[in-house]
Amino acid sequence: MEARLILALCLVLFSALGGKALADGVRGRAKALREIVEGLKRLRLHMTGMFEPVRGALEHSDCPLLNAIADQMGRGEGVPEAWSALEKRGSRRGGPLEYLTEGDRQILSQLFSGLGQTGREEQELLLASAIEAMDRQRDSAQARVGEADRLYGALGLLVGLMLALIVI
Amino acid sequence: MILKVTALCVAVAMICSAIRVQRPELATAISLSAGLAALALVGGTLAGAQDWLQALKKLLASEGDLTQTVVKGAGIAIVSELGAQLCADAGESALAGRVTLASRVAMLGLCGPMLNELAGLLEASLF
Amino acid sequence: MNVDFVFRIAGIGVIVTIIAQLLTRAGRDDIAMLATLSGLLVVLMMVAGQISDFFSSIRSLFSL
Repeated sequence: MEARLILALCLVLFSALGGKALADGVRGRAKALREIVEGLKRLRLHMTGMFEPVRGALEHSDCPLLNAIADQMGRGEGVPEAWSALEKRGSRRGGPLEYLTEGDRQILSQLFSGLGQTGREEQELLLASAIEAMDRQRDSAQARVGEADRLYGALGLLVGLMLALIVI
Repeated sequence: MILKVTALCVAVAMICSAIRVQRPELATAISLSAGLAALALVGGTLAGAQDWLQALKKLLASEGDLTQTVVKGAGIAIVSELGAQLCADAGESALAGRVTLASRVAMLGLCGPMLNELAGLLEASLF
Repeated sequence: MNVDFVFRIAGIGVIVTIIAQLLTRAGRDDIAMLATLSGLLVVLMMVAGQISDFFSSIRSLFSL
């Protein structure tokens, strides 16, 4: 009986932790999108304000994702190729794309397919529309953080209680 | 025993009434398990009455088959009542009707030999 | 059959109902349906053994 009680307690604990991990995923996406929006704003400043070349502006953007593209460009690739290579590596744990959804990636694909290809005004428009779209994604992710905390936390606890009831 | 069964059924009825609005299928499953538990409690007491039934059988030694028929009939009635009420609770009144029909047919089959004997007795006494 | 068993099943039923409600309110109706079905399956699997025992005891008690 003691063994079953201990197993039940472990199940409740692990389920609650699992729920918390899911909530952390939502929080992680909101944080990643915040960083990307700030990075894109710095990128716009460096490219259209200071007239820096694309790679330099990406390096100075102080955003993990944009820095990773700059690193990839160091192997002699253009921006679209660097982005494709980064995407192919996938959303591995700890990577810059870990928390991004398909919608987020589509916005970034549109941006990087035309970045550094046209004149200043077009680049200004391209960056402005990408920043606006990512702003919207960031706001909706931010709104979901509190809700996800409550929902996944409660779900994790309830699933753990249910498993504990089955086991005891 | 009666207190246990009453307390159990009242408690589960309250839980089921809370769940039934959202998840009627779960409420049906819970009331099924409670019904089985209540019957198991009743059956436990009934098993204790088996000695009394055996004594009655010995007393009616020649009518042993009749006692057996009555007992079987009681068993069929209990099982079919449980099944029919569960189906009715779940909103399947047609299925409840099928269960009742099956129990009636089973009772008829059980009573067939008795009816034959009765007809024979009547025939013998009248003609 | 243990009476505790009934309250365990009732507890599982209540928890599954709450989980399904939470998921429905969060807009995940499909996952709520899956959760309900899984809970129902678990409960039925737990009850199946008891049903079998019940019918065996009825059969032996009433010589059916």
